[in-house]
Amino acid sequence: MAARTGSLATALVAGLGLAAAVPGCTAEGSVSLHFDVPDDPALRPGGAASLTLVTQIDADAPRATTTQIGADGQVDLGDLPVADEVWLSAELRSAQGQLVGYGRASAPLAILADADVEATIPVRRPFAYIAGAGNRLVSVDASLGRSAGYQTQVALPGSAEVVADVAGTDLATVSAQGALAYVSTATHGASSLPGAQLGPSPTDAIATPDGAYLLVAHAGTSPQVSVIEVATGQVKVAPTPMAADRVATTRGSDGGWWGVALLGRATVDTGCPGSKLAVFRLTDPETATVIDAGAGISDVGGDARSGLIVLADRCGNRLLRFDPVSQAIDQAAIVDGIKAPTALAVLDGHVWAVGHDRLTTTSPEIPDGVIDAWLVVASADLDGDPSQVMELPPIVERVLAENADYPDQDLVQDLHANWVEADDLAISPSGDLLALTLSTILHGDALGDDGFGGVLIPRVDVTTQEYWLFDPSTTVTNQRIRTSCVADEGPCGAFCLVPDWSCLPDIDASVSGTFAPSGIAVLFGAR
Amino acid sequence: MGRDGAASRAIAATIAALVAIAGVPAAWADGGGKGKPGAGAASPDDAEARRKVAVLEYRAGSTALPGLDRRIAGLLKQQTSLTVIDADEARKDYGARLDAAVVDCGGEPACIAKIGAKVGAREVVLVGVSEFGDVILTLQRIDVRRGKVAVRIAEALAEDASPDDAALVGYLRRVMPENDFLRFGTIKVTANLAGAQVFLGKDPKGKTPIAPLRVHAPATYQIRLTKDGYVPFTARVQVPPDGDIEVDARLTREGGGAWYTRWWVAAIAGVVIAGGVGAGYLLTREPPTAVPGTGTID
Repeated sequence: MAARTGSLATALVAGLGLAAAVPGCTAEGSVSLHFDVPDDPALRPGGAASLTLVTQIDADAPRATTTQIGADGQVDLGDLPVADEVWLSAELRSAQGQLVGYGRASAPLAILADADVEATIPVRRPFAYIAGAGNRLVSVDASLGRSAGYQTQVALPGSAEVVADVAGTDLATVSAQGALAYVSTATHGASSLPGAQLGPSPTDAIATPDGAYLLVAHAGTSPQVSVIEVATGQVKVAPTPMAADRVATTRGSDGGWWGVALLGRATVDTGCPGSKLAVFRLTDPETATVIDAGAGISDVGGDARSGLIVLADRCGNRLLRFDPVSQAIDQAAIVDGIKAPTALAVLDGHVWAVGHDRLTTTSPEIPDGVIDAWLVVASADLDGDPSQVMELPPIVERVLAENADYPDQDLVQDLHANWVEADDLAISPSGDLLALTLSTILHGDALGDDGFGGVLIPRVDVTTQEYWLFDPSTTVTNQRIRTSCVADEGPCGAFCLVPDWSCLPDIDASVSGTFAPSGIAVLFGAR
Repeated sequence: MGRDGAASRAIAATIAALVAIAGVPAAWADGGGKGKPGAGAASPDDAEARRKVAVLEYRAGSTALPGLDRRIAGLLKQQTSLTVIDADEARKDYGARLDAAVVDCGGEPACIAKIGAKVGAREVVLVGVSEFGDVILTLQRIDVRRGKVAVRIAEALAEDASPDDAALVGYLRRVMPENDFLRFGTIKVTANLAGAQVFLGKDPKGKTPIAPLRVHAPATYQIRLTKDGYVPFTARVQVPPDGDIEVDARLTREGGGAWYTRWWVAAIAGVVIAGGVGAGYLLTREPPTAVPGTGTID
C-alpha cells in the first residue's frame, strides 16, 4: 500500500508537471520558407530587392507583408498567422517596384502556434508562353518590358497545339496528335512528370491550381475532355457529343474539383446558336452531364475560390455565373454591357473579359461600312461589385509601300481595323496584367481616278495575329508581338502609284517567325 | 523496474492524457470554421460579435486630435470582440489610395461603404474631424451592405481638448451596439469517446464530438463529461477574452481494471486537471495567433 501511495504521489506530480509544461507545448513556433528559384540565370528572377509574402486564410482578405531581401537571400517575414490552412504566395519586386518573380504554394500550409514549420514555395520569373509555333513555345518575360531578350524560345520534343500552366512548376503541352508532355519551368527542359497519349485535336487545356489535374479539350472525330492525374499520368475521359472548344475547372461548393467544357463556342456577335456545357467531376469524368447554356457562350473560366465558372455570353453582351454543383446558371449578370465578349480569365474572385465593338456607317465614302474596330475590356468581382467596362483605342495598322523607296521618305498608309477579336486571355498571378492573343482584319479601299487611269492605290486587306501584355490600370500595352501579318492587294490601274504594300515592322516580330497562336499560359496565372 | 514503477508510468500517462491545454488556431476560434464538423453549433450572435469593422478617418481641413482613428481602433480591439481593421491594415488591403479614396468620398456613406467592402468589413466607423471654431468630432457607424449610416454622433470639443480613452469609449458605447462590448472566448472539448454528454456548468451542450463552445469571457467555467459506464470527467477552466482553451478529456471505465481507473483516482485527477487548467490559463493567457517567419531565396 505504501508503495501504491508513493506511486500516486508521483503520478500527481507528473500531472502537475504536465500542466506546468504546457507553456512548453505552446511555446512559440516558427515558419521557415524556402523560396525555390531556378539555377539558370536566364530563368532566375533578376534584380529582386524586396519580397512580398501574401497570406490568406479562408475567405478573409489577403494580408501582404513586404520585406527587403538581404544580400544572402535571407528575408525576415515578420509574424505569420496561426491557422490550419494558410495559403501563401510570394512576389519578388525590383527596387522600382517591377514584378520580377512570383510564386505560390500549391497547397495550404498548417501554421502551428507551437511547432516549427518548413515549406518550399517555387518562385519563377513572370513568364507567359505562347503555343502554335511548331516544336517550340515562345516564352515572354513580363518583367523585361520590351528590353532585349524578353522573347525566347523553349524547345519541345514535338509540336504544341495547346499549353497549360501546372502550378507554376511545369508546363503541359499537347500536340495536334494528342501527345502530352511536360516542361519544367525551372530549366525549360523536360519535366519528370509522366507524359501520356491523349486523343487528337486538342483545343484548350487548363490545370487545377494545385497542379493535381490537367484537363484537355478535344475536337475532331473524337470530341471529349481528357482528365489527366498529373502525378501518375492516368487518363480518364469525359465524352462529349460535339467538339469541346474550351475547358475550365473549379473547386465546387462540395469541396471537389469540377470541370466544365464549352461545346459549340459562339463565333458570331449576333444570332448566336445556343452552346452546351459538359459538366463533370474530375474524379469521375465518365459521368459527365451535358446541359444547354441557353445562350451562345464564347469562353469559360473557373474560380477555385468561389467555386464558380464564369461564362461569356457573346451575343448577350454579358458575363454570367455558373455553379457546376447545382448546374444552375445565374441569370443576374456579373457584367452587363460588354460588347461581344470572346475571352475571359478569372482569378481570386475577380473576372476580366475582353470583347470588341465597331463603328459602322452607311456613308458611300466608306464602301465597306466599317470605320473602326476596337477591343473592350471589362472587369468585376464575382460577388456582384459594380463592374467596369473600358473601350480601348481603335486598332490601326500602318502598311508600307514597296517599290517606292525614296532616299529620304517612305510612303505609308494607316488602315483602320474592320474587325478585332480576342482569341485567348490569361491573367498574371498578381492580377494586374492581361496576356491575350488576338486577330485583326483591316481593310483599305482602293483609291482611284477614272479620268486618270483607274485605280491609283489598290485595295489593301491585312490580317494580323498578335500577342499583347496589357496593363488595364494604365491602358498601356507593355508588350506587343505580331506573330502574323499578311497583306493582300487588289488590282491596280495602268497608272498605279503603289501596287504593293507590306506590314510595317513597327511592332515586335516573333522570335519564332510567323505563326498563329493556338494557346497561351501564364505561370501561376489564371484563365 | 518493478510493478510499481510501471504503474507510476501508467498513471502519469493517463493523467497526462486527461487534459491538454493548447492554443487553438484562430481560424477555428470563431465558432467552428467553415465546413468543419460541428460548425453549426455556434450561435448567430457569435458571428455578429466577430464581425469586421474598419475604422477610417475623414478630416475636413483639421489637424486637431491627431491619430484619433488609431486610438479608436485600438480601443475597439481592446474593449470589444469585434475584428477591427485599422487604417494601416485597411491600406494593405485597399492600397495606397485609401486615404485619397476616403477624401474623395467626402463623407458620403454609400461611398465609404464601398471602401469598407473592399477591405472586407461589414461596418465602417468613420471618424470625422472638422473645425468650426470648436473641434467637431463625429463618429458614424456605416453599414457596408446597406451603404447607410446606422448611428451617428457629433461632439463639439474645445479647440485644445484632447479626450482621454474613457471619453472615447463613452462615445463608442453610444455608437456601437451594447453587445459589441461583450467579449468571448472559446472552449474546445475533445474526448476519447464519442457520445459523452458535455455540460457547461449545469447546461448540457451536446455529445462528443462537439463543436467549440463560445462563451462570455473573462469567466470561469466548469466542464463535465459523462457517459454511462465511465467515470465522469470534470475540469474547471478560466477563459480569457479572445482566448481559446482546449480540454481533452479521457474518460475511463468504472470499476475493474487497473486501480488508477477507479473513481477516487479520477476525482483526484480532476482536481489536478482543474489546477492544471488554471495554471495553463495563467501561463498561456493569449495563445499565439502568429509566429515568426523567415525565408531563404535560393
